[in-house]
Amino acid sequence: MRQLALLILRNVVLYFLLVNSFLQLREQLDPLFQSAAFLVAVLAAVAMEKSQLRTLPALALAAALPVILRVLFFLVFRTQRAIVSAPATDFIFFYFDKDFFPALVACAVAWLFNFLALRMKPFLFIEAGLNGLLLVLVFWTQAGYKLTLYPHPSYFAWALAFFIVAEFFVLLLAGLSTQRVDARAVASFSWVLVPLLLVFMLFLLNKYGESSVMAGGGLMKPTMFRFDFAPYVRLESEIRTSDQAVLLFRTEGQAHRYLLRRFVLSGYQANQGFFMQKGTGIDEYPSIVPDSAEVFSDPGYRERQSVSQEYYFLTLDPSSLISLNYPLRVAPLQNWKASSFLRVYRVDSRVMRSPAGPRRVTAQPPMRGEDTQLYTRTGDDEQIHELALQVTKDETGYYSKVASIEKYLKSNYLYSLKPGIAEDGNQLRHFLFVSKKGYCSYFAFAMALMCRSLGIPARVAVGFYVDPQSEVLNFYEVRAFQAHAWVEVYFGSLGWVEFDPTSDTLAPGEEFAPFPGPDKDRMAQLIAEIVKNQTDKEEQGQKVPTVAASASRLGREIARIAFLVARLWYLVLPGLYVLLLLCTKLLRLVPGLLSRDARRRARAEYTLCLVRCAGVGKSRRAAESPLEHAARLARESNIALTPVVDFYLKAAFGESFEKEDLDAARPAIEEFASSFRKNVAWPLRILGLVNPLGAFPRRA
Amino acid sequence: MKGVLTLCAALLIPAVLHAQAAQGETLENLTSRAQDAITSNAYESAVKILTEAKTRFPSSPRASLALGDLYYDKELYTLALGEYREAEKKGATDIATLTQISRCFGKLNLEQSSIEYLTRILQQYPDSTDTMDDLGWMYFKTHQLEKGEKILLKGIAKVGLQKGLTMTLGTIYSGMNRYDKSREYYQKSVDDALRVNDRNFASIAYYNLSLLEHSFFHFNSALRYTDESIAMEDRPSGHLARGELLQSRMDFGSAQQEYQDAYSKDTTPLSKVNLAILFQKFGRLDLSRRYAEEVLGSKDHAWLVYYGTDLTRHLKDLHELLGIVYAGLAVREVSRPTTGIIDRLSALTASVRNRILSWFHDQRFRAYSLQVGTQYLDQGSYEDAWWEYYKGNESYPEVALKYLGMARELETARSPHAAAYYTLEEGKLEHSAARLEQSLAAFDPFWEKEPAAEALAALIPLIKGGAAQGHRHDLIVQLYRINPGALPPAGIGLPLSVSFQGAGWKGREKARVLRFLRRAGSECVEGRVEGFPYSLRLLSAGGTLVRWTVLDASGNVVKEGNPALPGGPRQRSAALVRIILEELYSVH
Repeated sequence: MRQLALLILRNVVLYFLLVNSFLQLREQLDPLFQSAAFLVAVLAAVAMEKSQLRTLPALALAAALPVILRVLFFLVFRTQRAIVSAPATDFIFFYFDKDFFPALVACAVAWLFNFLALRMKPFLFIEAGLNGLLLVLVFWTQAGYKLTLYPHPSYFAWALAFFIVAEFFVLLLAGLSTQRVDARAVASFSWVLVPLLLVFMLFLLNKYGESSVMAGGGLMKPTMFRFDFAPYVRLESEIRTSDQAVLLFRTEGQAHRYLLRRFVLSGYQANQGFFMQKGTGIDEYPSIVPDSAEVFSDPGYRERQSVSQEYYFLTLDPSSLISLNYPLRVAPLQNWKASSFLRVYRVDSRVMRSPAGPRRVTAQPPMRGEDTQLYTRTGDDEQIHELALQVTKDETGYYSKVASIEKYLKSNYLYSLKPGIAEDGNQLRHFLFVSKKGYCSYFAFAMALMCRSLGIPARVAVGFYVDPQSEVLNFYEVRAFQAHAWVEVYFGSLGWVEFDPTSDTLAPGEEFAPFPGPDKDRMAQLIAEIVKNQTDKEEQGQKVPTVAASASRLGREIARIAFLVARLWYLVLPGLYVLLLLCTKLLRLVPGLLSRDARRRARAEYTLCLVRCAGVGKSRRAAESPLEHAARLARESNIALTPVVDFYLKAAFGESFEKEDLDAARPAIEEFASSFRKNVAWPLRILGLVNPLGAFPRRA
Repeated sequence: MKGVLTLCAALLIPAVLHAQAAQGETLENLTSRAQDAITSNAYESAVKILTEAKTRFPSSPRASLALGDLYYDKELYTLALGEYREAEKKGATDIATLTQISRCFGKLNLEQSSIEYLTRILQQYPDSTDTMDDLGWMYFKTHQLEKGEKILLKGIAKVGLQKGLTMTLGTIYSGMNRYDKSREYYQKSVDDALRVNDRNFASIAYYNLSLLEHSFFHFNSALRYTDESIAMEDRPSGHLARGELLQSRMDFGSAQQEYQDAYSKDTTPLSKVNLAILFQKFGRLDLSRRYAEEVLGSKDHAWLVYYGTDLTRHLKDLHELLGIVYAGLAVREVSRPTTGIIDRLSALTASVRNRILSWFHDQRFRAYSLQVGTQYLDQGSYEDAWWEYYKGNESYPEVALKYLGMARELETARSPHAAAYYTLEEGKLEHSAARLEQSLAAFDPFWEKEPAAEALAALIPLIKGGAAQGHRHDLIVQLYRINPGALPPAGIGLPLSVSFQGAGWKGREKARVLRFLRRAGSECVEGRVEGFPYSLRLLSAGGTLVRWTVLDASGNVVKEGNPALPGGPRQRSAALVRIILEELYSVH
């Protein structure tokens, strides 16, 4: 009965994996065919095992079976077609093969696993690990948070939970049905399986992250009616633009071409492009608008002017902080009832208006080693480095080198929304050396990497450019197509200086109008609304903490800690695992070891010795008495456990066992410890502490 | 009883009105505010206001209609459809609302539902010529050609030769393979468009005429109409049509230029599909795969509504292309020069992977073909149906030949030249060299180089060495002259007599070079041998530089190079052969 339950449960798990893998090809495959094939494979395995076929003939028969079945089916189909020739009988060959060949893989797995599990009991435990591996393989395609297998992510979580629970029961049943392995060993094995699955899932999550970066692309990540910038930039073969108004920007003084910065992307990986690397880099500040006025630390950059700006968001995500480089204070302003704007706030920045300061810089400004490493990281593309050297060969100064790269890109390359696809998949090289056309991100990538290849610290910035022509009463309209990427180069005490290498010349054949001019009527309407409602520009004060707000803050804190933990997963997870194991192994002995009751303490001391022995694979066998165990250890490994067992037996069964008895036992414990150290190699002793064996020692 | 009800109504109505007034604005105000918000791009405010309007005035369809319009403009067709249908339930059954509903269905590729609405509109508004035109088009898209013809002829009888109706009718006749009728109505639509100086419309009509002429193998006329179309207006589809004609001539550079011109203006993925096909034909398989997979990955299919194809056919074409591309990549991997056992194993693994992917895409293509064939059959388009059934069963020659024969019978009856194409397909299915030679002889040597190259690629592996060696060499030379890029994916290589010159060659290295060349499909002999159409001279003085030259039978240099080859002897041989192969078969 138990064997049958185990067979069914194991195959439920396998069928679960099969269903999930076929869900990915649901348009291609017939579930009925696949299920029938799976059943045939399982029955074939059971039948072959029952008939006690030897392994090799069984393997040969299993390999021949599909061929025989296909031949038989095709004979039937041919006969059928000879009687009636119609589309239905004509196409049956194709429809059969369409399902037959994919089913072979699943059938092979189902047959092999069942045959081996029935023939070799220990395979049951290996199967659990292999199933975990198959699970990861099946869900590998679900990267990028696409989750095409299930209509909702919660189903995915339920499926995973089902798998883990089912696998646990399989192991439990396997342990019960295998005479040599008991439930404690199964539980120990689960300790191996669970971290293994966790590690698999981490790889999976990592892959999810990478693929979502790939799937995101472009500069912006739009939702239904809102926009925000993606914290990474990839080079796409084609982008589309929208002329939807995103925000109004207001600042006093003469109209300029402003660069409103949303993110700086300092990290770079050849396969990932530029991305935001949080927690590193110079002059970092929050990327979300605070709930009340907030002052950022002032890096004290020289030769900058104070510029106050106001932002009125129409379709940009209200939490997005946009500002001129470098913001010192951000203050959200009171929005009014029935406002057209999602968010209103003011920023005070220190802005570099003239290039005179950077022009005077001729030598590379000093930078901390780790920062230099971050801001000069390139994909080690030799061709890009050579191009950078060639472009700057006549320049000697720091600024002049950067400016010559900017000028080179601006005047030798064309602006295009459709840069095309690179034959070898390297879009940047395709831009630099083949097509010579691209949109702003291509120019920014190229310039940043060219600078970096010369050792000049550079990073990509993303945000909006503001055209001076769109100015109406100090207001500037910003539309979606003004999303832009540019480069910031480090100039020491002058801070990060902006360079915009994007060409103004449109590629031939393309009809993109870079700036059609502001919609003055729409702007007039919005400005009138601002003037009417925003009489005193009152700053939004600190909100009185409510239960909901406190909970939300707490949630954010937890999320922040979780994020930190997640980033250091390779340290945190093994650490937690070891901690958990040590707790499981040792914690429950602590009360006994601290107890004043001598008997209890003696038992705990003996159990501790058992835990140490079990950790190095010298645990007590099922039918062994403590003394037999001790004698075996002495015989096989020279470990002196017998004196400890003597006092343990006295403590357990003696009429009296006092503190003096316990003190008298101390040398026995020390003798054990000394023989253990002497006869067990130190790596094995360390491993003994962190492996799960002995977590559930046989009770004394 | 009636009196009580009247009294209740008299008491309730003012109460409801009062409640509405108490809540503030009228429906008029709310919709006007929402409109202002839309004008200011404050869409979220607009949605909020209109949702509020829907709650406050649940019986009025106005807010739903405004929301529907907002969603439709933002290309959120599922949401728009929901709002329009809600408005319809609330009594908005005017022509504008119903037309919007049918358009949403069309954009969501739900043609049958779109037809149901268009039919309803026509029942309510029998004189709406726009609806007739839309319905005719939808009938064309769903292969219901007779129904489309009927409705369009009815429309023409009512309003005369209006350009929209005549062009759709021309397309319907083209679908019916009625060349004269199709040509006549396309010409009429051109005339009407030119009469009102609608150059955009005339450009589309000329483009359709060009497609018609192309499908009947009138290549010169097709090119003329394509030029007319582009002269009227520089539209992407004109460039695509011209590119296809140039591709048929195997003029890679010009065809690529046309497709690139189309791509720079195109808002649909069609130019990318054409580029992918072109790159596949000329052996640039990686690029072809990238283009095709990018199109396959795109989930926005709203553009299909205005094109004479549907999602199934679009996906069918993409899977067919990817199946061919992966098969070619598998051959390329298995025949590439490798630097050791690990590299060889990796090449074989990549080849197996590409074979599996090719099989997968091939299966998808065939499943879609059968699906499309059944659609055609249901609508009575037998010629197309048999052709699709043939493609769906290509792996089972017995079945495939049956449907190919049926399609051949119908198509050659109206267009005898099509016989050459059918003979080509039969030759490929039966592995018959005679049939392939027969088709080869029938193709126009100027306009039909593309099918000729296909026939040659299928024929060459069937001609084995021995007595036929000379003939095989001639065929390879012929294919190489038409399209060098077609050789590697077919596992064919140029026959080469290889001579090693200079002191830098060791026996093992020579043998390795010859082995790599043979692996790439080349028939190779060492030394100068008579009867070999090409010779490869390799000159090495012992350094890292190797000068290589490929000469034809007359001694003219075909390709040459002088690369520096770093690494050990095995790496050097592999790198040298790789460079030679790349140069020899590359098309730019």
